[in-house]
Amino acid sequence: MLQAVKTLFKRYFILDKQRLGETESWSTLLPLPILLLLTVLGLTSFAALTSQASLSATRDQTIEKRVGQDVSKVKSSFDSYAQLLQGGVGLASAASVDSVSWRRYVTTFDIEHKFPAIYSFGVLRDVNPDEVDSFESQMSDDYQRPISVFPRTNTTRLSVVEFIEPATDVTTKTIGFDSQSLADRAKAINTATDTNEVALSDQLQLLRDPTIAAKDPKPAYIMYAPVYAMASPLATVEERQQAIRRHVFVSFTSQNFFESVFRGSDYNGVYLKIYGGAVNNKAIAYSSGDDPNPNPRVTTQALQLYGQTFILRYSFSTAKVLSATEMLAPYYIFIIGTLLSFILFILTLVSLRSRQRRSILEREQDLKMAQDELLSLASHQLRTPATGVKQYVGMILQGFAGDVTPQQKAFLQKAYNSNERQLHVINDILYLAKIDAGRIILAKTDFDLVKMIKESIDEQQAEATRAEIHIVYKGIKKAKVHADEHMLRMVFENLLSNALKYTDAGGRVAVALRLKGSTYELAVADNGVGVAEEDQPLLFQQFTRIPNPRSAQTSGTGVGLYLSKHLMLLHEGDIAVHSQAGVGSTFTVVLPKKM
Amino acid sequence: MTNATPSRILIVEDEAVLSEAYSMLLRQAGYEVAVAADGKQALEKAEECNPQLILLDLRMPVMTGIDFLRAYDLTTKHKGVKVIVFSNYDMQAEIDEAYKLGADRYILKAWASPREILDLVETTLVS
Repeated sequence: MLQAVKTLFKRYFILDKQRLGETESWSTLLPLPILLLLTVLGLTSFAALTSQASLSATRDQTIEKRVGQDVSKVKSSFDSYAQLLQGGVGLASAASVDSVSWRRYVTTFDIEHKFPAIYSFGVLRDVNPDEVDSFESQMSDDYQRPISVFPRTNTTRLSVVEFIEPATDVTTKTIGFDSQSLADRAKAINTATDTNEVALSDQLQLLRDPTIAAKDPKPAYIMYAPVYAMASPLATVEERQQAIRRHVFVSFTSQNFFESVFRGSDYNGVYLKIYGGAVNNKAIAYSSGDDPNPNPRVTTQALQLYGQTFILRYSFSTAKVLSATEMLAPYYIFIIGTLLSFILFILTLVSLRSRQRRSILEREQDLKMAQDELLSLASHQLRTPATGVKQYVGMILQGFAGDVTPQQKAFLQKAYNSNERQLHVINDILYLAKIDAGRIILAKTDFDLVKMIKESIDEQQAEATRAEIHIVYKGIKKAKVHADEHMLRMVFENLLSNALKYTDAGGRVAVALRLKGSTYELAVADNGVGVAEEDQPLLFQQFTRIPNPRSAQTSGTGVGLYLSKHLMLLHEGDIAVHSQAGVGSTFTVVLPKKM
Repeated sequence: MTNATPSRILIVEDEAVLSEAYSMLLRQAGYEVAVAADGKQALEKAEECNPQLILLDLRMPVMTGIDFLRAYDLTTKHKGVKVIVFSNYDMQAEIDEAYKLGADRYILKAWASPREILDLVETTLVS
């Protein structure tokens, strides 16, 4: 039966708790929060990279936009010049045009302010070599001074500067100049003639003081518009060449032109160079500045206008193109995302853990309830039959069922005692179970320890006298303690009954109580069978009984001392033993005065 | 033991072996004894015989001892009736509840020998 109880005990009260603890460490909760962390980090990285990519796109878009804007600006400027030329064409078509009417015409345009880049706005007269003389005299009349056509090398058609505004010292010197004598001009002039369209020359040099020109070469352009004889057929190149009479032109330095185009543009960090034709330093038409950045990003845009190719070359660094906040966006995203993912990780872990705790708690409660039920059931089921026996046998022994013979009485008494023993055993085991389940609570009260000791001795006195053992108390008269009286009584009674059990007739049990510092020492000394030294460690263990000559005769499950020790430990005290086999034992209970 | 009319005792106990033993004992001692096997029966029997003392077991089927106490109402309706709660369970919560509901004594069946039971009944009746 003891074995069965032991097994039951172990199964329900000890192992379950251990099992519960092992599987519920919080490391088992980690997978989900980690998964969440990695997912959010992944999303964040993705978002940051996307943002980074979109920044590139934004930058490219910004640049593209700028390029587009610049291209329109350039185009519209050139177009406005072309329109200016067309206007001039109208006047130059009339036979009556002269320098005065030309000047009048030009001043209406307020070139200085409206077209500040224009260097000169004039008219070329196309003459055959045989017409040159009459042309010269016509011009001389107009200008009231001798005008000569120069150089005279041209054998085909000449295009002579007829009118030119503004009329400065430099520009007036060009009147009579045959533009066809310079190849770069001739090309553009003839293209205009042949195509009946405004033509732009290649990059050239304006006619200036040669010394100045040598020192300070300024790339320039001239734009020509053809003027044909009125009502002429212009379907073919030949017809156009036949019909050509004049050309209207504007000249401008490329720097001035592009500066006027981009006046007011905010180039913040973007450097623009415009090349006429190929990208090389010689053909540079315009430069907004040199990019200090050794490794800038570069984008180019080719522009075809009026027969010329311009290449716009942009050099920039992304930092200048995008605002600071835009640039930092991917980093912000990454930092915030990472923070968020960690916060989420912690929150998830915490919530999972609290849920786990709650479920552990619930299961512990369930376990406790099951244990309670088991205890209750055990106590009831074990006690009921034994109680039945106690009542019936007790009634016979106590005279409620008539007379019994001495022998019957003796037998019945033995049966009754045996049954009492069983009830005690059940009680001890159940108490033990309660302790192990942690359900024993100290009910502390103030009481006199000496009084309790004396009462217990009195109770055991009858037994002692029968066994011919002398119990004596020696010690302090009064001992006020604050403890669980019931438990201390159990302990003392256990020690006392043990002393009586293991002492022979004629023996002596001495109970002594003294106060040592702040601790009470209660000693129960007997001169009985004692306990061998090698067996002493086993004394306070559960369910062990030291084999000794008295064991067969005495009752006991071996729980008494284990329980007693436990009860003393609950009081922050202890029980110690001094013993010698064949001489006797002294069990000393130690109880702190204040806990 | 009383001299005049014998005191009436109601034993409420579901275990037959025990209720028989107790009723035999108390009858021998001269009391008028009625028996009930659960709380519901106990209420009926109590109405019938108006006991002066009830020996009440706690754990019973149909209706427990605690529920019986609640229904029986010792504080007003049946003030003056003595109740000894008699159980083989020792659940502190139950004991406290029983006292709260007006029980006079509590004793563990396993500890009470026949003589002790009689002494207890006597002293409780006169208290």
